[in-house]
Amino acid sequence: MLQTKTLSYHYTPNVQLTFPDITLSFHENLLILGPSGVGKTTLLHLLGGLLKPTAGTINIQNVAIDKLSQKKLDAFRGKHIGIVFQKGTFIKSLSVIDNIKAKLFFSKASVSDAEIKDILTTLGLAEKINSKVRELSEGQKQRLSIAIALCNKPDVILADEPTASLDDENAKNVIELLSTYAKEKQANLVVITHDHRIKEYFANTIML
Amino acid sequence: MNLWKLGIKNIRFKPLNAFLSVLLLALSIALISAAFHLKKIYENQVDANILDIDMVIGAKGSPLQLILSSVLHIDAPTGNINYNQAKKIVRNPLIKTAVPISYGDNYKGYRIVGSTEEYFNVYNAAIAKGTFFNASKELVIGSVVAEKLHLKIGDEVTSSHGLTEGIESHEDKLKVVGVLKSTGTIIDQLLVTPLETVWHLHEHGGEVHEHEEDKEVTAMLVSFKNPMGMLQIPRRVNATPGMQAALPRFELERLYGLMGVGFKVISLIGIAILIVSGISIFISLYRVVKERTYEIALMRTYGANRLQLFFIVFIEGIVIGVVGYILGICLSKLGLWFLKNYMETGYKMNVKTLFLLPEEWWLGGSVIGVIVLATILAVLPIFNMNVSKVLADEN
Repeated sequence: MLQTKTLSYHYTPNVQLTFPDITLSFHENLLILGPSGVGKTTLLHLLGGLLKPTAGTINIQNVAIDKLSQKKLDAFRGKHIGIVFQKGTFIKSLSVIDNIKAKLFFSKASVSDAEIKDILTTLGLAEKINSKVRELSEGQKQRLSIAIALCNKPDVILADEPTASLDDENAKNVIELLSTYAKEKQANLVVITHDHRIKEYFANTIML
Repeated sequence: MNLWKLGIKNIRFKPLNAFLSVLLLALSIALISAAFHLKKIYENQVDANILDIDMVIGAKGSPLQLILSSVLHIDAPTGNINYNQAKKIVRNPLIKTAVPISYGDNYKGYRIVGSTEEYFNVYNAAIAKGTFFNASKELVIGSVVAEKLHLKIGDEVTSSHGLTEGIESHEDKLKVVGVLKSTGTIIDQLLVTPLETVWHLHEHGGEVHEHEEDKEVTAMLVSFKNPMGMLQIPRRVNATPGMQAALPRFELERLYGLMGVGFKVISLIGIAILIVSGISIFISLYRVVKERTYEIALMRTYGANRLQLFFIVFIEGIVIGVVGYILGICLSKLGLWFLKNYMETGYKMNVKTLFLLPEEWWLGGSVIGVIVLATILAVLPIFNMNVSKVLADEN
């Protein structure tokens, strides 16, 4: 469940971004489209609790996250929100499996090794479980980024240009993976992108 | 997965980052610790050997030399004094004991000291095997001498002229009749014989001391009954032709004043390097934090709070600190071990070293303090980082 009202963020008095209200009930997905520079990433970061809105409210799972203290917000984010980043970026000193375990550690989730293996197998990373992250290909990095976002079973998945650097085939795979997960877990999937290829997968679309 | 593992993995990922810091820290710890130990060894050496020798009477010359030669047995004597004259001076109600010693010979580098049975009381030395001497040409040997030279009761030795291993030997044989228990003092490294032996050995050719009044000793070790003695007796001794009184504690304090500057300089160099190493640890951690700004932001999105991130960096610092400290202490121990061997073989000194001095615990505490400070300074910039901005800039 995700709901925003009269959300706005001011970088400077001259750069003020306002966003349309969003209301998503269980397992509803949303695609936010728009060219660069209109504040897509800002909106995503507001939804993820990485930025505090200048005005307006954000409710996730009936918690007003704009009212939470920094420490509670960190904990809430870890437990309820999974973020997939555009470029697969990880903790470089850790292996594939340890990156997942680090995420689970910080989000205080207890997930069995078998479940981790399942996720990695689904994403075609079973072979790479002990590899160093720098040895992965671009596609594999993107999939690992998804695995990390999903491994602790968040209620909201925020994806920032998850398909930008992928070919048609991989872009399709990634979106299907994310939608399938959202459907199974009754989670909300919010994707921001300028990639029109993936429009057909979403019922709700907002143009910024 | 836990914070420890993350910190350790980070170090192992780029070990060179930490290497210079560890090296500098180890060096500073080694120097400071060595200075502490040297000071301690010196103090122990002095305290163990002065015991209750309040004053030494000997031939005129350098008072420090007199103390070094008669008390610590590491220098040549200033000369001899007339035994009868000395005995007259020490016949005084303020004097508790006065033990004559006479020396000038050695056996394989270990000094042979002529004295009376009272000499053993000065060092609280008890017999381990055999008996004290009863007659001239009998020897009672210290524990180190017995051990190093493999001497046992009944062995006969030939003494050599001079105080270091020499060429010219006396013909007379001296017989070992007793071995002393270890005392941790200089007597462990001496061969003690009655005064008569030394006199006898030195009756060269026609130069025979027939009269009691011609007998000489090298020094008298005196202890006072009360501090008044300290005021009166030295003045009387110094007024006697050819004689001087030297106060061991005073002379060795003076010597310590000179050596103390050395210890201080070593300590100061160590502290300077410690400061540099603290700065180096800070720079290393700061660089690590800067390099990983993005990863740190990522961990924040995973749900990590700021204290946890602080700890990851702190663990890296503390590993540098602990490794550096242990390495430094090992270096200092290694250095002291070489020094100890050198002093024991070169100077026949029995050096006792302690494992860890209280000062070294303090040193360890300061290292942790330095690391906490370095971590706080290094982490400060990311404590209020704009996670959103860091992530947006990277993507």
